[in-house]
Amino acid sequence: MKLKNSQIDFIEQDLRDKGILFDDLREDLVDHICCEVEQKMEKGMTFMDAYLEAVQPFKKDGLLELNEEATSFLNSVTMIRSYIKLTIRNILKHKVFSGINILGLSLGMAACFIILQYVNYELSFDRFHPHSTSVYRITNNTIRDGGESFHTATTFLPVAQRIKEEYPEVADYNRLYFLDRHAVVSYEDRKFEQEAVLYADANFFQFFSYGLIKGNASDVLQSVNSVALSESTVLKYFDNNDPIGKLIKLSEEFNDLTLMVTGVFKDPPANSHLKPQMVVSMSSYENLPDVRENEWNWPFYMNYVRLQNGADPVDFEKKLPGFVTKYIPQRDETIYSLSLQPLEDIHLYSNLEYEIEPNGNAQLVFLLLGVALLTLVIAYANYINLSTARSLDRAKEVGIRKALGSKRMGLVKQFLAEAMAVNVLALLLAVALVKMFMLLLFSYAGIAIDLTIYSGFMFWSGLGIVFLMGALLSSLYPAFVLSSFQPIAVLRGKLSYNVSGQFLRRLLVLFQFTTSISLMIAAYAIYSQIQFMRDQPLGMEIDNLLVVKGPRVNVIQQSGTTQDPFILQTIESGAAIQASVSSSVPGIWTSRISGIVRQGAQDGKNNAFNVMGVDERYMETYQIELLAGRNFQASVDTVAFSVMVINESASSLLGFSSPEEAINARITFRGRPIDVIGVIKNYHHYSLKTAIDPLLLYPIGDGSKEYYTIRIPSGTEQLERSLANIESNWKSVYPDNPFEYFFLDSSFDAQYKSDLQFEKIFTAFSLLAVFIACLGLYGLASFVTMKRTKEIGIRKVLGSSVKGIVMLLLSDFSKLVLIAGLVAIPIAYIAVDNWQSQFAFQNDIVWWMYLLPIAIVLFIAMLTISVETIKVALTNPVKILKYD
Amino acid sequence: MYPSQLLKGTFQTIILKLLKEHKRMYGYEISQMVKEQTEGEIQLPEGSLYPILHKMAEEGLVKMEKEAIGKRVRRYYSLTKTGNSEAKFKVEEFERFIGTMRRLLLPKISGGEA
Repeated sequence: MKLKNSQIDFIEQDLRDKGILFDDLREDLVDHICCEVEQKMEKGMTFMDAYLEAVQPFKKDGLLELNEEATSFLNSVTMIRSYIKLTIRNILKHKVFSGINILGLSLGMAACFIILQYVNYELSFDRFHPHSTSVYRITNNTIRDGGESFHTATTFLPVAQRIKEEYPEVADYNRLYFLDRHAVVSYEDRKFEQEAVLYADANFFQFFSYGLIKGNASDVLQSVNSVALSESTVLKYFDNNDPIGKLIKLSEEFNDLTLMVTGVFKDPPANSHLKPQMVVSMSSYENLPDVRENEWNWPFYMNYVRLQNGADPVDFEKKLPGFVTKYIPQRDETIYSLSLQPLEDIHLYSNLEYEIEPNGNAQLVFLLLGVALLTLVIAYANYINLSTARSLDRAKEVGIRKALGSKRMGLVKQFLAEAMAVNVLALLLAVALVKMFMLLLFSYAGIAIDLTIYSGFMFWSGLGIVFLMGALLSSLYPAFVLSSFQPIAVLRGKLSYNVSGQFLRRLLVLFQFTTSISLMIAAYAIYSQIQFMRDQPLGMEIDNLLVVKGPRVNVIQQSGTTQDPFILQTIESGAAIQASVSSSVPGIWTSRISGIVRQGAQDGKNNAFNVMGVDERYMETYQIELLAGRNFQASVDTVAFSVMVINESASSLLGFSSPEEAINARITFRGRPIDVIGVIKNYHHYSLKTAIDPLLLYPIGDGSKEYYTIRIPSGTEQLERSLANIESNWKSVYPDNPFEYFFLDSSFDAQYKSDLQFEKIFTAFSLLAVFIACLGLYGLASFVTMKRTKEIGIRKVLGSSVKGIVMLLLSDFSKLVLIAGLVAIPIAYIAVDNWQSQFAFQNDIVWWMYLLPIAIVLFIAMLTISVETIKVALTNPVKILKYD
Repeated sequence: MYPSQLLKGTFQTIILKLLKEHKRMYGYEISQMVKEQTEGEIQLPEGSLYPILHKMAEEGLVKMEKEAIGKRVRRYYSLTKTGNSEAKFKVEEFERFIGTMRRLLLPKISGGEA
């Protein structure tokens, strides 16, 4: 008797249901059982009886064991192939869940990778030098008249040299003088502006490792007037010709040198606080009479020392006060102290005066790392949530498998394999996402990263370990929960949705939403604080102001400010509405002095004042309001420290009760009398991150003409014409000086650059965290809704409205989100308050700034849940209930 | 029927021997043939038959061909070259084993009779 196709299908399906998933085995068994059944039916049995009898001997041995036994005989390749097949089948069977799992995980991973790359880059600074761990920079702290301390990254020229002579624990030293502005370099008849020029001791290329390509590290900077150039500089000056032995002329502040090129080095890597393009031998500089004379007066030099192996920097630092007493000449009321700063810490932890470049901020870097890890944790929480939620579905499978004799470890292994597959898929997607979006994100946030640097083995293996740990931890829990089900309980339907980890799921959802709401609140607070600082009136007008950096070489000596030929010409030519020259401009450091008091007063000698030289056009150019007294007059006020205009803060610090009271009052600077001739309204010389300091303005002298500020007519066309005009004036007045300019509004705004970067990255990752959390919520909500489909059908039959049903389903999760919001408020408040405390001018925290993010997240969450629930609520109950 | 401990090691030999004689067989056929030839004294448990076949296929002793019979697939097994020599070796080995067993057991029995 031949079996019908439907009977064969039945056998095939039943075996499959019993867990015989291994195709080869199933084919064998189907054929075998069919033969057996056919025989038995020929003897007159019914199909069902025959089948049950035929399948009996297999049951005794345990069908699943058979499956496993058959599988375990296979070599690992076949086994993996079948695992992959199983996994793909499982993933495709639950498209939504798998999609959400994989997408969520990969987003979290991608976010984490990107931030890790950034953090890794920030941490990699200056670690490429072979002795980087034993190199220290000597920093200098100066306290004058018991006032504020002035901590510089630089100190006096002879310091490192003397220290090396004095202490045996110092193995080597190197001193640098880094030009903080462009120099002018000429080769034959061509002239170039050159940045990043530094003078360095002869052992520079041995002390640091800036890959010398041509020349010998030990003698390239040995002789006077020798210079080593970076590859790109060589290209700029000499095209492809051999530069060695060529002569170039360098003009800068102290020097006018003819230098011979003796070496070429690779372009410095981006992850260094020191990125020289041109290194000139220190011997060409240190023997200049001016420099020699002032070697203990000018603290402008980077001094680096390398300690001997085993020397303790803490112990060594204790000897430095003795060194100061012995070598640094005593000055009245001035206290110097030296300290050591590890080379590797400079980029992230150092924020001193006279840094070579603005450094990174360790706090922000680690904060971002925290946000990235939180995003990853949220993604993994999703994963755990969805897997355990689905456990009810899989509980039956587990129950049957166990009833058929599967062992727990076998099930754990299989679930782990499935979890790993999802993780690996997510990882692949994450790598693709990183490739696509990393550069975009970095350029959006304005972070310049040298992409060739962080592909080190350590980085990737570290990443691999983190990934494996995460994958294992996130999959272990579901695997053990799933495999722990008791077959009897499951198959009797005793295992309800409520007991299968609902508490954990709620906790995880709560965690996810607390985190993402906190992040949202913080992101919004950061945004509004920065916006607040940028929007506040500054007390001056910085739009349409062009700033030209003052001349460095061949400064024309003139007396008084009226005659400044560049200003006169510029105004006359119509290129400027107003123009002014000063020793600083808003956003750029002024000098700081102490020792200023009202005449006769004893107190207040330690108060620090910002002080800068300005001409009589300064206030008009910047539109700063004069509250009392008068402005400088070009012909009258010519002596720098005899008259001053002060701001409100200075006026009250000096003890004047009103601006008027200050006029014509006399103050003294270390005994020298000064007349206060005017009081100006406070204006923000620096960003709103800092308070408005007391400011003293004095009539500028020729030596301190650092910046020309030019108010130009608005409009792009006007601007271009003015700019061309101003440049030609510049060339005629200061022919040997580069024309370097910037716009004050953007340079002032640049003070917020790092804050804006932080804001952008923070916002991006907060949104991502919310998105991932919602993704998880969607999965969970649709699962729960699915489980409650029957309940919904019955409710509808009994007369519930669609609205009522949707509300019912929404309320459950909304409550969670609301609780999360309540938990998030104090957390976010403390964090935001902490972050804001670094700013002198703080945006008031308004209640809705906390409620708005909660409302937004709640809205998104509701929307997420509604998508599924409304669909089910609208379904005709007949369709739901018909088949039961 | 013999206890299964006694038989366990012999299943592969039995299958090899049958395949050597009949060239090409499917699983059910093998199990039926064993039952018939031993008059039910030896029954190849279904739970062991297929794993052993799969294992031998994996080891390259047998090869498998599929044949569609209506809706279902029948999998025929036959010996490979190595399978052939393995069958020969296994049968010889088993005969040696039986000889050894006989030498081990018979003297005692005959001694008892004497």
